Order: sequence, then structure tokens, then C-alpha cells
Amino acid sequence: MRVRLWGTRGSLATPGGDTMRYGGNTSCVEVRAEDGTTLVLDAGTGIYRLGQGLSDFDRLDILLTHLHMDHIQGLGFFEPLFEPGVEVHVWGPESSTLDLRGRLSRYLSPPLFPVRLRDFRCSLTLHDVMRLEGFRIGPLEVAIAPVIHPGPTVGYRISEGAAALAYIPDHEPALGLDRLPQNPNWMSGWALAANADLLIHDAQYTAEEYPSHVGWGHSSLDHVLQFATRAQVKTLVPFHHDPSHTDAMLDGIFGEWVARRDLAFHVVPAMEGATFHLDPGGVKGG
Amino acid sequence: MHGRGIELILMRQLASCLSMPILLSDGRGELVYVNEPAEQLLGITVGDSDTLSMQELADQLSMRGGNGAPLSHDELPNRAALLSGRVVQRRVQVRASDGRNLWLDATVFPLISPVGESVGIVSLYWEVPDEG
Ligand SMILES: [Zn+2]
Ligand SMILES: [Zn+2]
Repeated sequence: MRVRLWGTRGSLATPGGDTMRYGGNTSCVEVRAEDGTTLVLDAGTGIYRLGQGLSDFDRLDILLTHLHMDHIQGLGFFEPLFEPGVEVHVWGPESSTLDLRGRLSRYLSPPLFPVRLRDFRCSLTLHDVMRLEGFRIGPLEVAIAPVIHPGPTVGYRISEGAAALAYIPDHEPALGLDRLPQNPNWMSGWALAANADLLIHDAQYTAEEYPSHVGWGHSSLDHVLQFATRAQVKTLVPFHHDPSHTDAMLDGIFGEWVARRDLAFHVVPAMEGATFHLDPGGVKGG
Repeated sequence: MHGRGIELILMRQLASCLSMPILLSDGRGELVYVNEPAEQLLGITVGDSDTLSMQELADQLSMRGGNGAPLSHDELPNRAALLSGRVVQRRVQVRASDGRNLWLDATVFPLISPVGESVGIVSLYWEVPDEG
């Protein structure tokens, strides 16, 4: 399984000279199985360039964690949606009052967007996920669980054979707590992340920034470290960088972690364009 | 590899921040969490990985009706909320951690998930000051 980061920024696309290395595009991750089966995790602005480079496929699956703008803004610009004969499946959380189609249509219709969902020329199927525990796409096993973040939000665990990727880009497991619960059963997202080879996780705030953003749905760097430790992951990819964090700031924030030898896992801060190869023996690349 | 549902986790995190005595049960009615004020009031604890059935809880508290009469299994506030899927308010008598008889107004309600499943039961216990 190959994992490529096309968008790593949280909340708002932040292009510019001081975000070149970590990236300015919002959440989008490509997952490609050994046989070429392709999944796309979230449809932030990063999905635009991914869509331009894709060829030779007749089915694509887009898995949305939730419908905040930074996770769907690129959807209407994803070229495969306009290609007749291509089968596109979009999976994502419904709410208690609207299905995924109804919720996505709020954005994908005038006046916010000129094209309606029904006008895409691909063969489009939408799947509500809140009642599902998982599903299979080719060789990829997908597990789903709701996680703590405002509004219906899920995380995904994608497995191929023994290799597992956990993707929880927007997550505040410590909401209301000083420390994460000792028992992982009581920790939001734990079952998704447990023993994953690669955990791509929200790391929006520094410890100093978090207290003024409690309840906004994101993690402090401390929380991510605790979460990854409890979940016993092999590699942690801090993701969903705050728009105000420049490359220089992120170097400062993560430099210390990457150098730490006391952690039981590697820390590889998310940078746009980074790729990881997961096989049953572990993770390569970065 | 199953963690608790998000609704229970969030309710537990909220209950841990509040000063009202709160008990939390899972979708089958098994007690899974007691916040500190409830621990102090009722002398009941439940470990992170433990559960306590409704009947065990009622027995430990020596729970009776407000008039002192024994409660049938279905009359236990948790059980009534679980069966009806609605809010239940009931005055009960229990034995407190210090051995005193306590009169409590129980407010018990189910947690209904976004897909309409009953995934937990929240029990609030309000001490009735002018009884006892
Ligand atoms: Zn986001
Ligand atoms: Zn969000």
C-alpha cells in the first residue's frame, strides 16, 4: 500500500512562500493498493492536483471524514468526476436529518458552486457511513468509527494484508480532559489507530495555543503524542497544520520530536508530496 | 479491537467536568462510569474496564421507592428508561456511602445515536434536602 499526501493544511488553504515545504493545500491523501486500487481520503484543495495526474482507472473511491469546507472544497474540481464511464464512489457521514447527498448538495449547488451533484458526468454513487463499521474495496479493508470533532465526523483505518494506515485528520480526543483516559477503550479513535503502521493525525495546535481553542475539534501536539503512544503506532504523521504555522515555525515545533529517542514510534511531520510505503514489515519512505 | 462508542465517551468526558452526581450506563444498561461527585455521594465505583449490572447497582445502593417500598426490577429508573426509551424521573431512597438513608430525585435518560440506536443511559441523582 502506497500513501501520498496531497494536502496537509488544516482549516484554510494557505499557499505562499512560507508554507512551500509543509504545503498549503488542505486535507487530501491518496492510498494505492499493490494492485492499483485507489482510494482518496478527503477532498480538500489537495485533490485538484491528484485528479490531474490520475489515469488508467475505471473506479475511484473518495472517503470523506466529515464535511467541513477544508475537507470537501476540492471535490468539485476533481477531474474524474467529469469523465463519462468512470465509476466514482463518495463515502461520508450523514447527519441525523440529512443523508450525504443532501449535505454535500449544500455546497455543490448554486450559489456556492455552479455545478450540481447530478450534473457530474461520471457514474457517481454516494454512501452514508454512520451505520457502517467497515467495507472492502478490492484488497483494501476499510474500518470506520465516529471520533470527537464538531458535527458528524469519522476516522478511517485502511488495511491491506497486515499493513494498516489510520487517518484521523480532525480530532480532539482530549476534549474536557487534562490527560487522555488511561484505558484506551475510553479514548476516541483508539480502535482505529491501535497498532497502525502509519497514523496520520490532527496536530493543529501547540500546547500554548490549545487552551484558547478547546472545543474547536483539534489536538495539541501533546495530545497527539499521548494518543500515538497509547495506540502503539509505528509511525506518527502530524497533520492538519494550522494556517498560521509557517514552515519555519513547523520546523521549530517538530524538530524536537523528530530528534527524540524516547518515543516508541517515529515522527514524520506531514509535508505535501511525501509518500510512504506500507508493507507487512513496516513503513518505508517519508 | 472495539472502543466505546463516541456518545458514551463524550458523555463521560462531560460528566467528568461537572459537579452533579452522574452515572453512565452502556446501551444494555450496564453501569460503566461513575463521576467523582456520584462516587462521593453513593460510595459506588466502577473501574475503567468493569461493569455493574442494573440489579447489582440497585442492590449495592439498597435502592427503594421514595416511600421506602422495594422496587421491582422494571421499576429501577435505569431499567425504566432503557425499556421506554424516554426520560424517567423518580424519587428513590438509597443507602449512602456513610450509611445514611438518602432521598434522591433520579433523572434518567437514554442517549440516542445519530442513527437512532439507544447507546447509553445517563442517570443524574439530585439529593432531596428536606427528606431523611
Ligand atoms: Zn479540517
Ligand atoms: Zn473539521
